[in-house]
Amino acid sequence: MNLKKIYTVLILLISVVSFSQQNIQVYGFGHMEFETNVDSLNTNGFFSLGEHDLFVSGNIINKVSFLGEFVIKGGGASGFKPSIERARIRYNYHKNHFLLVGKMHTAINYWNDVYHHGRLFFPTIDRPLNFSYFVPIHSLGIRLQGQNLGKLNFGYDFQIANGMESTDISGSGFNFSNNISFHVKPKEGMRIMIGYNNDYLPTNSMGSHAHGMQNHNHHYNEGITVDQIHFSFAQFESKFEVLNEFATVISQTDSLGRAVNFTNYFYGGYRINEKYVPFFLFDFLVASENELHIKKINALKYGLGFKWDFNPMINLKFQVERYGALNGMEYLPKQASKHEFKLQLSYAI
Amino acid sequence: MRFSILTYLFLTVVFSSNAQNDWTNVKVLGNSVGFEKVNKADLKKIFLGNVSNWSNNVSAIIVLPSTRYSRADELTKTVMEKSHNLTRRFWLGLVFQGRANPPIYLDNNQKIIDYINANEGAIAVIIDNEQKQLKNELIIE
Repeated sequence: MNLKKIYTVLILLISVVSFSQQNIQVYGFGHMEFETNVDSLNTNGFFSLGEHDLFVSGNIINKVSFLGEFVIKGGGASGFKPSIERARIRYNYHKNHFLLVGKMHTAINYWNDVYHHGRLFFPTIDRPLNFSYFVPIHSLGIRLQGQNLGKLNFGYDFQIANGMESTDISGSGFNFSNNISFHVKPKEGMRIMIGYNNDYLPTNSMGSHAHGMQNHNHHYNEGITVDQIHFSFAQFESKFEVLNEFATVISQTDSLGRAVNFTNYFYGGYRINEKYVPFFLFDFLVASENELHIKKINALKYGLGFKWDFNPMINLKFQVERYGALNGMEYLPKQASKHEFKLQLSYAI
Repeated sequence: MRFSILTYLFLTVVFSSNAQNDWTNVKVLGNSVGFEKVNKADLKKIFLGNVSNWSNNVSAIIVLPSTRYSRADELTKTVMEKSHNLTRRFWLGLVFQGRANPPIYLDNNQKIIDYINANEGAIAVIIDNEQKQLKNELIIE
C-alpha cells in the first residue's frame, strides 16, 4: 500500500469518527534528532527525522471506545514507511474492567505500556536496550484489563495474541503469545509492575511484533520457547524521578537447552521545576552463551542528560552516553565501544 | 541542636509546600454521576482519571479547563494539586497509554455549565464567585 492510499484511509477514518461523535481527539506526535557518534575509527554526525504519529481516540458508543495510532517512520524503499501501530476497541463492561480487542502495546513492562514510542513522554532519548532484543512490543489479539481497583490502585492485564513470529495479517501454526501483568499504584506517580510473557517461535523468525531485527540470530531456524519476566518500578510526579526496568528472559531450545539472559535499565532524574530535569541512565543486557533467539551479547550503556519541557506539548532532550560492555564476561561478544551525543526535539500537536 | 534546626527547616519547607489551597469559590458540577456529595480526596482521584464509570453505571466524562480558561492554573492547583501545564501533560500521557478516554477541554464557566447540563456522566470543577446554586452542583465535603 503506498503512502497516498494510507493518507486517504486516515482522512476518511478521522472524518467518519469526527462526524459520528463529538468526544473524539486527534493528536499528532513527532520527533527530530541530531546525533554525533564517535568510535575508535570514525566520527559521524547527522540530523534525522523521527517517527510521525497520528493518534485518534474517542468513544464510538457509550462504553465502547476506539484508539488508533498510525505512524510514518524511517524504513522501506522510499526512506519512510507507514505502519498501523495500534488499532483497538475497548469495551468497559463493568466499573474499571475492560475488554480490549485489536493491536495494542503489550503490557509487559512500564515503558512499553506507558510510553511505547511516544518520545514526548520518554524520560531519556532512547528506549532501554532490551527493546532491541526481546521485548514483545505489539500484540494483536484480545485482552482483559482492570485498573485503579481498591486502595492500592491495583491493575491487571491478561492477553492472548499473535506471537512474535506473526504479522498483523497472518501467523504460522497455532501459537499465541500469552501475556500476564499486574501493577499497583500505592501513591500518586508511583507504579510497581510485574509482567510475564510466554511465546513459542516455531522457526525463530521475527514478525512485526518485536523490534529486535538487527540483533536477531538469523542462523537458527528451529523452534524456540521464550519466557520473560519483567519487573518495573516507576516514580514520577515528584522531585526525584526513578524508573527501573529489570527483566530475565529464558529461552529454551532442543539444541542448547536453557539460556538465561538478564537486563536492567535505570533512569534517575531530579525535577528542578516544571521545565528542567537533569538525569542519568545506566542500562545493560547480558545474553547467555546458550542463547539462540538473538545474537549473544554483552551490552552496556550509560550516560547523562537534560530534559527541557517548554510546555506540555514540546520538549528538548540532550544526552551524552557511552556504549560498551560489562567487565568480566570475556566469553560473550562485547558491544562495540563508542560515545554518542544526541539532541531530540519531541512534540505533540 | 544543629540537627534540630535542620529538621525544623526541612519540616517547614515540606509543610509549606503542601499548604491548603483555596476552595472558597470552587464548585463541582456533575450530571447523573450517582452522588451528591464528594470529598476533596475523591475529587482529586476523579480528575486524575481513576474512575471510568459511576456507581449508577453511567460512563464518566471528565471536563477540564482549557488554556483559555482565565483561572485554569489556580483551579487545577486547588483540585488536582498540579499546575495546569502538568495536568494537561498528565492527561495527554493517560490518553496516549489508552487507559482513559480523552477529557473535554472548555474555555469558560458558561461553556462548562452548558456541557455538564447536556451530558450525563459529565463532571467538572469551576471557579465561580457568584453565590447562587447552579444546576447539577455537588456538595464538596
